[in-house]
Amino acid sequence: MQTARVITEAETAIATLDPTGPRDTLASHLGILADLHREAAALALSLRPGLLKLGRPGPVSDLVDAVLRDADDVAAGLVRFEAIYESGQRAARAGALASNEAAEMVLRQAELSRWLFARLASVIGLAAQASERARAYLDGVFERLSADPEQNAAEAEFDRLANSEMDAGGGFRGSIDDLLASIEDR
Amino acid sequence: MMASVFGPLYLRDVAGLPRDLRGRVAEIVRDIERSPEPDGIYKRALPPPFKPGTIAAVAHGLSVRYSIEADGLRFYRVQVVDL
Repeated sequence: MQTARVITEAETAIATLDPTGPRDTLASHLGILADLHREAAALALSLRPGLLKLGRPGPVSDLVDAVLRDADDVAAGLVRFEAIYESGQRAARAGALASNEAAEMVLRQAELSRWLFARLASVIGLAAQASERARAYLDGVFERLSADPEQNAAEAEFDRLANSEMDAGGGFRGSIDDLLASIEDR
Repeated sequence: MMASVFGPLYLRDVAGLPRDLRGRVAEIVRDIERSPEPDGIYKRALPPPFKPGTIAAVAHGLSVRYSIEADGLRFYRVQVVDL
């Protein structure tokens, strides 16, 4: 699975980062980290369509909203970190990361990446949980909606009558906003 | 986007809802208008005795029943399902 691969590769790249190594090796390593952050940002953003497809599932809506916000935050962080690693790669190639202070800065940045990838793993887990809970909730609601045959027959009859009235020009034609405005005016 | 016709009972249902829920109704209708076909998740086709093509969308604790007709979308009912 792509998600597991990206997270594992990022953890390995962070754990093996040696900012005191040869400049070309360090530059290459920082380039790999930039690529992994770019891939991870795409993964975080890819959660959005799946969550939106759940609609607004009643009691699970708050969880879905929270996961959407988290996924966006994590993606934004990963994009920023990608840019930092790209700068770092250029600096390494130019020999500008040779000092102890620069090496310490690179390691601190890598620690932030470790934290951000942990957040990515968490938000992916929460997205799966939200999806599962939303589907279970929706299955239950649809089951309840069609559980009473008498009520279903009555509702189907309402629809038939409504269709006849709409065929005869009844009801309201227009946008839902106009409809709501007409109700507010009453 | 398809034209929408809101049936008489739909109008009564919406008028009977608290103001905050009416905003949610608007959100659901806009969503249905963008993509009315059943998705098997929160927009599902209803079995008989409902007329073939009748769909229920469940969102925001509301159920909106509608169908896709030649002249557009026909909305039948809005009901509170879990509040």
